[in-house]
Amino acid sequence: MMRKNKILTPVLLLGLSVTLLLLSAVGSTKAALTYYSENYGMEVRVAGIGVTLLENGEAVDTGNAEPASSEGGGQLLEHLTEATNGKLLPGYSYQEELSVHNSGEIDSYVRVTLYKSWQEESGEDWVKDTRLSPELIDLRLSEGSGWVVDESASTPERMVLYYTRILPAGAQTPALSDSLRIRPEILREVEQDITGGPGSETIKASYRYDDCWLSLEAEVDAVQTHNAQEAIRSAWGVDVTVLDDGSIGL
Amino acid sequence: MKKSWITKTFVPALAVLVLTAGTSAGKAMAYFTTCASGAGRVQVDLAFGNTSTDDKVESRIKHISIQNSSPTEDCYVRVKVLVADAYQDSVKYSSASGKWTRNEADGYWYYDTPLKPEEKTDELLAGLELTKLPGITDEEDREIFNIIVVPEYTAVVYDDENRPYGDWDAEAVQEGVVE
Repeated sequence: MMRKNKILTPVLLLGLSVTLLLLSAVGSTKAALTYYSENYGMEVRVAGIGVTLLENGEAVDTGNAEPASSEGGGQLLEHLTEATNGKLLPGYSYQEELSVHNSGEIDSYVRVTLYKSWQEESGEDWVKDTRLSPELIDLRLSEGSGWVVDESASTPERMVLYYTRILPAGAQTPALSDSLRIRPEILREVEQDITGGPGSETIKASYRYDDCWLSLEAEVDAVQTHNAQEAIRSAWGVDVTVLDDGSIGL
Repeated sequence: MKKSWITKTFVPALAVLVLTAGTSAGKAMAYFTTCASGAGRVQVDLAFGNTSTDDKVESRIKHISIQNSSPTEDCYVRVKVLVADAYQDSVKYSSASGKWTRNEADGYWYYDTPLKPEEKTDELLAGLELTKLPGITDEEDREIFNIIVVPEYTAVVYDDENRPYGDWDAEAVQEGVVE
């Protein structure tokens, strides 16, 4: 009796698997037969999803298009300091309006992840200088723009913002930020280099952030609005609530 | 014998089942998504400024002016004028341009606009009304009549409205490196 069960179980399991596999194949075949015949050709066009990152109203990166920079995205901050003759002045607020354009053919939900850091060149690469504070880089967010910060996912270096409304195809979000500045406190960070022995010391002071590179990165993610809750969970790994008017809440 | 049964029958059956389930799961997780990105950097250029003081005396009037001698940095300047107690009440200040303003709380004279590199302030005049204190000799007068000018400068920073100001209360957080 025991021996009979031992044989019967795997055979049943195998049989079930083969049946499922066959059914799966039959389903695909049936779909092909439904949509295609020798007499009639049918072009099935899938609506595309697409987003474009905008900086001060100018397109920076259109997602699926060819990358505008070697880092795989568009170039930010190219014209940032034009108002002050190319010099980044402590405390001065430079226009930095980041927004998102729905350049696809279907409505979408969008979110933006921003990274602020101080970097230095290391050969041909850039490395973060983690001794310096990203909090001195002050990207000022716009109020009442429909963007909300996910505080639970944000750190001094990273900010995650969700546009809570549906972004219709062809439409553009309000700017999530309006300006960028380095805080005036940057001038309080001073380094002293003391050389020489007692009685003949030479003290050379310098600003700690002198010659450092301020870095800003922005990533835009978009997801379909159909079956939004599941789609957002799957694509972004967050649970949201979708209200009757289509807006989402964290 | 038992090992052979597991290897030959059970494992392949389980593998087929997992593969079948995997095919179905792939279909269920397909959503329309896309992304775009941008990045950029700007270099910070910070340097300490420098000033030089011009305070020549003509007819018992000290002509005080400060020059921003930094080739690159703007700065705000202020001066403290120290006078012997005996002449304290006899010194009269004047600023023809009106750009020098005295802060009674700290005793400094503040120049109200930032200086560009190499730019010089208008003159602040400190004039002694008395030609000489009564009862003293000329030599004693020369020793007593001594106006000392202490200049200071600070870097220009900007407020929320992009208006420049000098952060005179700033205290440097220093990090020393001793070799």
